[in-house]
Amino acid sequence: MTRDSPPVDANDISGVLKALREADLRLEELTAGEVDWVSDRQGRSYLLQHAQDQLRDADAAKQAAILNALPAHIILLDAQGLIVSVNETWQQLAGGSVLLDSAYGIGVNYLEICESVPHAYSADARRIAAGIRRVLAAQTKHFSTEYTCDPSNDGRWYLLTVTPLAENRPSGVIVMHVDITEQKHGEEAIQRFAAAMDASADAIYLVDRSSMRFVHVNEAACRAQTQTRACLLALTPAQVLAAPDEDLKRSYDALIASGAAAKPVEVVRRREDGSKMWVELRRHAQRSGDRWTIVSLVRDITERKEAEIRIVHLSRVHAMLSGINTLIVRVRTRDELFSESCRIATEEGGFRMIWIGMVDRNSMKIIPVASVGADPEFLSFVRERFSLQEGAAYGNTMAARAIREMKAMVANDLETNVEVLFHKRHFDAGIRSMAMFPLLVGNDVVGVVGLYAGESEFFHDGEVKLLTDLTRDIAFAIDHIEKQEKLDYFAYYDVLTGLANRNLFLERTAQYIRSAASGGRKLALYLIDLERFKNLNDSLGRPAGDALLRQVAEWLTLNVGDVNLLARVGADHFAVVLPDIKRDIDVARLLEKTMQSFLGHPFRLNDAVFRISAKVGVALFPEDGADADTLFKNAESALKKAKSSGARFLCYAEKMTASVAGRLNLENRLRLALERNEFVLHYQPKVSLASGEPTGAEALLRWNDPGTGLVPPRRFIPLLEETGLIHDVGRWALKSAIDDYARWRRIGLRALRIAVNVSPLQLRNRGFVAEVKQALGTDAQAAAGLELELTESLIMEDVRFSIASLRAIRALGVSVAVDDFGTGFSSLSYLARLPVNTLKIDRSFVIDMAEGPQGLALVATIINLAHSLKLSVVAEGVETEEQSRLLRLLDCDEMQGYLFGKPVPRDEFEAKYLAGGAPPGAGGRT
Amino acid sequence: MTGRSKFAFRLFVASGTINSAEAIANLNALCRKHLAGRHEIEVVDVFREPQRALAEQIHMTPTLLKLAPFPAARIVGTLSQTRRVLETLGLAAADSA
Repeated sequence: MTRDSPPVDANDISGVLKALREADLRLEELTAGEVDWVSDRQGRSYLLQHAQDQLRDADAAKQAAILNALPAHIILLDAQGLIVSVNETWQQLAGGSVLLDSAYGIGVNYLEICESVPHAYSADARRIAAGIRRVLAAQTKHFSTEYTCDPSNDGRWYLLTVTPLAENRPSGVIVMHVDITEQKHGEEAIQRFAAAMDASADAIYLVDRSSMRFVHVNEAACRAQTQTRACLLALTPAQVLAAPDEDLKRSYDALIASGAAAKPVEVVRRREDGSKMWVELRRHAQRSGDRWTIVSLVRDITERKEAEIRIVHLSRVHAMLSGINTLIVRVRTRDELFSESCRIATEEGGFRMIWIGMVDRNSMKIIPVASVGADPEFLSFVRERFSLQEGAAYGNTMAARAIREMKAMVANDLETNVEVLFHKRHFDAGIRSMAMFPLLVGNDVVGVVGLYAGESEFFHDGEVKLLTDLTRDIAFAIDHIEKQEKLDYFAYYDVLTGLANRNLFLERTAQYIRSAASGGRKLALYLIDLERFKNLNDSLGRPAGDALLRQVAEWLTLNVGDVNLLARVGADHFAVVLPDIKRDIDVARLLEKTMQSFLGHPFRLNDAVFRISAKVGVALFPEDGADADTLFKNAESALKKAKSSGARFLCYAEKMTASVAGRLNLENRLRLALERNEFVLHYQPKVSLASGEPTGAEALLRWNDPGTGLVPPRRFIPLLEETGLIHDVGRWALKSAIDDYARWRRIGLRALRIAVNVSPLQLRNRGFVAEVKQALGTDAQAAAGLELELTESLIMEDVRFSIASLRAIRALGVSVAVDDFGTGFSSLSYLARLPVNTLKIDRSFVIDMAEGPQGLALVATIINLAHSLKLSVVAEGVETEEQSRLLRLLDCDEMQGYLFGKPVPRDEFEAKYLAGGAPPGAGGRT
Repeated sequence: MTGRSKFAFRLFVASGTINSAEAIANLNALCRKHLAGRHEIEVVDVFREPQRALAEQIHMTPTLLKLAPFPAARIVGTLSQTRRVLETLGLAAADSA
């Protein structure tokens, strides 16, 4: 309404005001006071005075109510800083601060109060005054600060805010003090708590269960995670622990449910650099309102833990040390020392694996001698591939270096040190650290000890030092045992010959007796006395005597074959034990060997050749004694008797002497028999069943002993085979038969083919076919006159080889007959393949044949079978006319037996069967 | 009878003034008593919507307009004289009967 008015003076204004008031009153009257607001038709409006008053009053009341309702101390200042209004809080409660006092009422200049605050609080107060001034001067729209100016020492804190009353023009301010003591104390508490947590060396993590996020982490936690606090707080516990969120929730909930702090647990972790650390983890759940906070304390106990582990390791090593030192005192052999040391190392020392290797300077290799926990493949690799040669393949192993450098080699963490040989194998076997210790005797490294622990970082200085001491002790023991062994050697060995002495021999014999007894075997003990030894010793001097004894020892070793069976038991006495006597003849065999070749052996003494004879006494287990001492004593007494009698040897039991002597005698005589032409061939005719004519002859070996006369074959042929004389005798028989056949042709006799028996030994001899060929010589017709008889069982022993040999024989033109057919279980399939000409039916079938229909059927079958295979059939042992008749009926080709003629000497055979082209006997029978 | 028809009022007020506040209170009381369930009241603050006051040729507050039922009526004042108001609104007969 004053918009268009020109400038007016004071009178005008009062005039206008008066007019307005009057108009207002008029309107009031007009409207009975019920109207607040009027406008003219142009929309110009104004409030009636009473409405204006009402509005103003209502605004002031509203503002006052708001200000009074606020829990803050509020004062309104005008542009000069005078208090124009205070709220109720101010009036009632002000008094906690020098800047807050209900005494400061309306009209007081608050700026002056602030600026005149004395002593301790003046700085804060002046700062506040300056802030109020800036807002009053519209230099800033807002000022706020926290302060404590509490003289009561309650430590109350206030937040002071200053806001202008009007937006644009300076027209006073509202100053509000809010009591923030509680909040401040809370913050302080948290800060103090945080500071305390930061001072802790333990890493502390506070996790809010519902959000599963960190609410606080301390410095140590940040260090442990190598993160800034902000970064760490941005992560979730699940990320930091690399554990599934669900698992964590479960464990937190369990913790909350248990209501107690969880028991501290020790956990191994890896640091970023790979080193191992131990931590102790404590957790508890803390409630604040309806929220749960999980407090985790993680303490680095690596140092303590390592100390504990060190103590455990050291005590294990000590246990092992004391075990092995006790062992060293009582141990007698190196083997026991090594194997027991290994056992103690694993059992007392708790090592996973140990091996001990000896240095072999010749081959520059390591020979493992004892181990526990090592697999054979590894040990054989050590033995075969490890070298002590620097630069060689596998020449730079820890073991080789320990030996070369004479000091312990350690690999303390196989998890990170993967260059160790067999790393994977060791690691898979649970080995985490290992060390090699040289075994030093004096200044020589004699071996190496490899120790393998299941823990990493086992071999620290303390352990290495103790173990070095230990290996030194073991090396000392090795040395000691070696010296002891030398002493033992003197106790058990004959120094001159190196053979066992009597003590050792008796011990060994006792062992052999135990084994023979449990195996039900016999055992023979021989005592040998060198004849004329004393004379030799006296005449040639003792060195020559010693040389002879050494030569005899060598000879015996060579001939007996096993030095453990020999001993020198007296000045010129030797002993031999044969622990496995199968037959009595074996007793004689050694004697024979000894006697024959010992007598013939040229011993050289002082550049001259001497032949030494010996006498032997024999005792047999179990016949002559049940224990070594008795046997030895009885052998001694047998030897004594032999020396006084003329006998070259004697057994303790006379009967045995006779038996052995008999065998020896027979053998010797058989040997001589060949030389002296005492063997002869007798011939037995084979006759054709069809014509009754002789068709062949079987040569049979006989021994014409000049002392006892004709010896039956069963008495000497087994011995020929046992002694191998069969080769020589067989060769002789073959030659004789071929010669006889040639002779018959030569002198115009009827030349019958001669069958010669072949023994198994002959056939097995690979040179047999060549021998036959040689025996046939250049005579083109010789082969036609020769037939070789082999028993069925001999052929079947090695069918493939037999077939090959027989083919070769057939290729020479020589016939082949299968002897004793029917006793050797031939299979028909082989029979068809055998390159033979003739089957000879065994005499037992011929006898059975006449006994009943079954026997007859069997022979009939054999004959038919043979004929179908294009073989001719000879029946052996035919003694009766009945047998002959049946065989003829069965279409058998030939017969042989007493019915037609016994084996007779050649001359007789020639006269009886070969003269005049027709056999005289045969004609008479048909 | 008009007793069943719907009443529509528009009350122009000057917010914050005591007469206007009384008018609102009186109108509400009157409607609750005599027009329960069949009235609509729109309150227009002339300070906020001066153009509507001008358009309706309202030159004083509080002013009540009866928009329906016919005929329209206009009352200025605090509506404290109930009988007069009811008469003006055509409700006096019903009331007296």
